[in-house]
Amino acid sequence: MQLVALPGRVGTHLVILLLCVVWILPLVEGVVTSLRTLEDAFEVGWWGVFTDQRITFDNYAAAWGQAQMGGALLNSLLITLPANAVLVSVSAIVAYTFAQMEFLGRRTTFAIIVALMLIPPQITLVPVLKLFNWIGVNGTLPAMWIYQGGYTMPLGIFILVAFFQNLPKELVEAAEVDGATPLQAFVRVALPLARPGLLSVFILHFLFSWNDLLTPLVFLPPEAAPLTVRVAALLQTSSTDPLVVVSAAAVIAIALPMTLFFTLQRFLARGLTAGAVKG
Amino acid sequence: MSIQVRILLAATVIVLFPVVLVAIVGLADRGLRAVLSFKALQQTRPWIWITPGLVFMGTVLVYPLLDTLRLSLHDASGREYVGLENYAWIFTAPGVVDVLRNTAVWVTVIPLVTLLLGLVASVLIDRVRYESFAKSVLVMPTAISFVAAAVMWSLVFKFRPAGLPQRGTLNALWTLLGKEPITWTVNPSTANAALVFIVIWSYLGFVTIVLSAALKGIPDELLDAARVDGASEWQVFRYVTLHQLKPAVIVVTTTMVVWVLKTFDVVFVFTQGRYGTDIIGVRVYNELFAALNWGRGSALATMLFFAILPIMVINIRRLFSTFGAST
Repeated sequence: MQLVALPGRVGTHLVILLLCVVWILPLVEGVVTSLRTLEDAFEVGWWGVFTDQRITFDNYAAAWGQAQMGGALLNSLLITLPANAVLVSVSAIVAYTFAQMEFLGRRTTFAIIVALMLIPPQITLVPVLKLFNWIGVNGTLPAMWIYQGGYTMPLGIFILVAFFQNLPKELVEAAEVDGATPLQAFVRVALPLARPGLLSVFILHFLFSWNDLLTPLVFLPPEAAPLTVRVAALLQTSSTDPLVVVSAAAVIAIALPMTLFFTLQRFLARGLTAGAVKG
Repeated sequence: MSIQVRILLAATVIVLFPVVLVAIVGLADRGLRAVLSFKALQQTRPWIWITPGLVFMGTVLVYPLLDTLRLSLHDASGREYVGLENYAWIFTAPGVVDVLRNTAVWVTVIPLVTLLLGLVASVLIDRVRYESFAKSVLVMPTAISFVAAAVMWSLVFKFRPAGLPQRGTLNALWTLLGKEPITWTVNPSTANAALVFIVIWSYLGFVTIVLSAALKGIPDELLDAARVDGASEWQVFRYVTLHQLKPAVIVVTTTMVVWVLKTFDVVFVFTQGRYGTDIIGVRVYNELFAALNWGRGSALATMLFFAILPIMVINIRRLFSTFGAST
């Protein structure tokens, strides 16, 4: 698309530049602060690094050890990865069914799933808590897997239905002619072809689960706290100092999602675009 | 549970859950094949295959929703029926209506400003060579939790009394202009705006990605045809481009409205709802888990649900009008 008028060439670059600078500023300020000594950070803001030219990794050692970020990182992994395995596998088989099979009640069920995509977590907390207490999983990791896996499932199904619908029906039929059962055709033929879709669901759920504060706050005891809960507690108890250790903790918390973001950006963009109901 | 046991349990679930899922569905499928006619099998099989999903969504979404509706008509402990008392409380208790009003402000301002910024960003970015770089910068906050963002933004917003050198970028620039430093996040006249801005910072990437994809989907011939007909570039933008973007604009706007209504983290971490920043998503949590009043918390949560209900209806309608034909 070519738009010649509107703001001129220089104006265009200036607007984009300004936007990018503002958007990256907190990240720069956070990373630089995490690398400064407490004394330097007391003296002058993060730009002081250009004059005193001194950096340190002590804050990371303090965050990892005393501030228990190492343990919190492990807790986050133990929550996010199994929840993702549950979510992706169940979503895939449900989505495949909706995309490839005709059955009574299909439209209605799918409409309900689309509605469930928008349920705010706040509505579900107390009943789920009561239920988890009743079956005895409250405060344990499986509580988080069940909750987070189930919570993202409508979105996962929605995204994957679009992928499985684009799959040529002949491929599945050919496998069945060769003697595969429908389930074998799903696992061996359809699933490998839907890999981009599965990756989109994976990255979306990873970011949701890793970055979520509300549900671990409700369902987990402090000793099982993931990164978000630990960093929030650190920030609330140290709001007056220059936050060098808290900054290091925040950088530790975003390291893995940022890495995944840059390696899987393509799939994230596809997931975000597909997840927003198409017009 | 010791840490070793938890690691082992997690690893087992990651590896075995998908296998067990397929095995169970496979067994059920085989059993049905043995007893049902082909036609009956065609109708039953899909329900067997979607049952695991229905169990999960029923457990953590459908049943809790219904139970919350019920709890909203009961007292703090959830035992005694109190009719609409909790709803009466929402509209008569001091301060609660202010929370709803502030939520209304958030739900209006954030989608509107983010949409406008996203339109500007996606149109302008489309015209420069470093498009993918600029897009990465704008989308990056999508990967950052509100908690980590709160740490980084509180550095930017840092305050020291006038006369002392400022450590935060914003007050450093602000005092450079000869103004008095401001306590951005604890001052009732700026705290709300500061938090709203952080949410906009977080969501702009999503809006830009979706609008940018829609922009690239507009056929060049359409724009050229308008130009040949003598339309100015502004008119082309106003009448062709914007019109073509309408479906994408509706999608991102409704999505953001829902996200804003659900917002919890950023307020909880920064202010816990003080300084005029309280919104419904935070107040529900505080009623449920700080005041321990399940009735009032559930009534507020139910209001949240009814605020989102129209968007659910819109989405289902759109679904049936587009790919509903085949569904």
